Amino acid sequence: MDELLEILNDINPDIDYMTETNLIDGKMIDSFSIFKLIDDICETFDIDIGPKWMRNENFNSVHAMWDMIQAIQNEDE
Amino acid sequence: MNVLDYLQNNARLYPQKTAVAFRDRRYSFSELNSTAARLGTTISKNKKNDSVAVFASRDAETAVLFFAAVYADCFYVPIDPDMPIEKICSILEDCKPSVVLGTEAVRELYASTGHSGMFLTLDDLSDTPASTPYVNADSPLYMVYTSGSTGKPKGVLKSHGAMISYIEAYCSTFDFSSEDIIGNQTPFFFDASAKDIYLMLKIGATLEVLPTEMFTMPPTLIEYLNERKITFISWVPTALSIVIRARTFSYIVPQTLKKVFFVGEVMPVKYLNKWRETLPELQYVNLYGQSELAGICCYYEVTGDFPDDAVLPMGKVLKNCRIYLLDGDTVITENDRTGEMYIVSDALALEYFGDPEKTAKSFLIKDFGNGPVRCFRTGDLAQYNADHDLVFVSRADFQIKHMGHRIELGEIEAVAGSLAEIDRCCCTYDKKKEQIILYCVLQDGFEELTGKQIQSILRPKLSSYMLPSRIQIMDTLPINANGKIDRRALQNG
Repeated sequence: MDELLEILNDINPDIDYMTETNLIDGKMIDSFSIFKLIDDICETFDIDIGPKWMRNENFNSVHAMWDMIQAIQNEDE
Repeated sequence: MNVLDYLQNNARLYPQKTAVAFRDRRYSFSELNSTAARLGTTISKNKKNDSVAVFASRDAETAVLFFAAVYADCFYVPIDPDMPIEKICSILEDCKPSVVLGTEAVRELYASTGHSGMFLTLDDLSDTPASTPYVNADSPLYMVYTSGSTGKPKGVLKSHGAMISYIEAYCSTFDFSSEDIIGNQTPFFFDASAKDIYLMLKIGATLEVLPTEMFTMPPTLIEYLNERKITFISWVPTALSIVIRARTFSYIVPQTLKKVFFVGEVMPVKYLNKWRETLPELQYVNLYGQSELAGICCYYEVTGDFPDDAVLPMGKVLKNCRIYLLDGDTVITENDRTGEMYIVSDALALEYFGDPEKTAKSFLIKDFGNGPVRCFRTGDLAQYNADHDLVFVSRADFQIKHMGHRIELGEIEAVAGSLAEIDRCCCTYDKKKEQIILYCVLQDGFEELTGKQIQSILRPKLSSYMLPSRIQIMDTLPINANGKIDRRALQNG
């Protein structure tokens, strides 16, 4: 989780990621930042986030992202 | 003729048909017309001048607010509610609207500007609808603010006649019908959105306003296009590129889409080719316009094959326009010779609001061989290719003199942008240090490359005097409110 927080803070350090649950719907992460976020997550966690995972609910909070990462890792195993 | 004639005609022909929709909120043509007319009466009673500012939120109501201003015999000025408060104040100070329209959600924001104009919403409808005001071709219709070179936004005022000239020519060039459903991407404070709004109005089509956040998650965006049965989109190339970058088509493809138009910036052919490979039966058209005219003036239907590193032509001239390329005072007719573009058209804007000096510099009376005509000096350099299609070369402002050579920064961008290693790029010139600087975002899989390595890859492809002396690798390129690369932000570091 710390590595994920580091990635997010790199995109925008002014957000309290532990409590925020509206990152995409609230337009805090825009369409240009999302690709950097996805690239960084893929590289750090050695996963591939395919289009089926690209849904607001998977990126609206750090916890949702963490659950998605775990789900992809489990799927890959 | 008044643009409201289109609206009233549709209200008669298709009263219950959806004119504009955002998520679950829909306005039929009848409701759009009657609501705008009733708010128009309230505006007429309270206005002290002809300028009405509209907080152009991303919703269906914004279209109603625009036409309410027109019913009140005013011109509307769309304002981005998310722009910095100083900029909002600067626009209000410039156009001095005595009436400001918006939804309840922006009432507080407006109050914080301290502006004295009366704030009205759709709760302020009169019981009596306004009658259609008498207008002529030069009556102002709307004004958009674009970023000025001084940093102060400049208002470009357009008339009823300009919009009618454009939309009539546009609709007689392409195969649109009242069955079309338009998927709007460009925000209503961005001039390109007028193409969607007035297309809806002219042909009686439905305008579906697409939620912004869907452009962050392209698969959900395509699902939404399918759900809403969108047949036509006219998006900025960045939005079309995002769909490809997310590998969306491996998961879901548009099912009802028939026409894909793009406008506002250069369409990277490598992304267009992916669209065409997946959806070869669709019509793809490259549009070119300027804020200083209603709509567009050139179009190019993409039919043949283009390599990924090609640059699409601007193509042919829309029938309500004439374009002249000038090299000095000579009108160019031959191929492959660069000249500055001048546009002659009934669709030209009236003026830069309150700036006669700037207006006189850009809107000129010139004789191109058939007597003096009013024209707009675009500041864009172009050529004719072998098919006599117009081809964009660069902005005249992006033409620099470096090491004794005349260089188009756009040419460097085109070469760099065609590299497999580079996703997007932008080139600027630091006059003080006499340095060409290339800012670039690398493609997936090439993130480890350094600026020096990119420079080495570029070396055999560019003349030595065109090789950028500094290459800065970026995570993203800054984007301005119009969705284009923000060159000023790059230059200011």
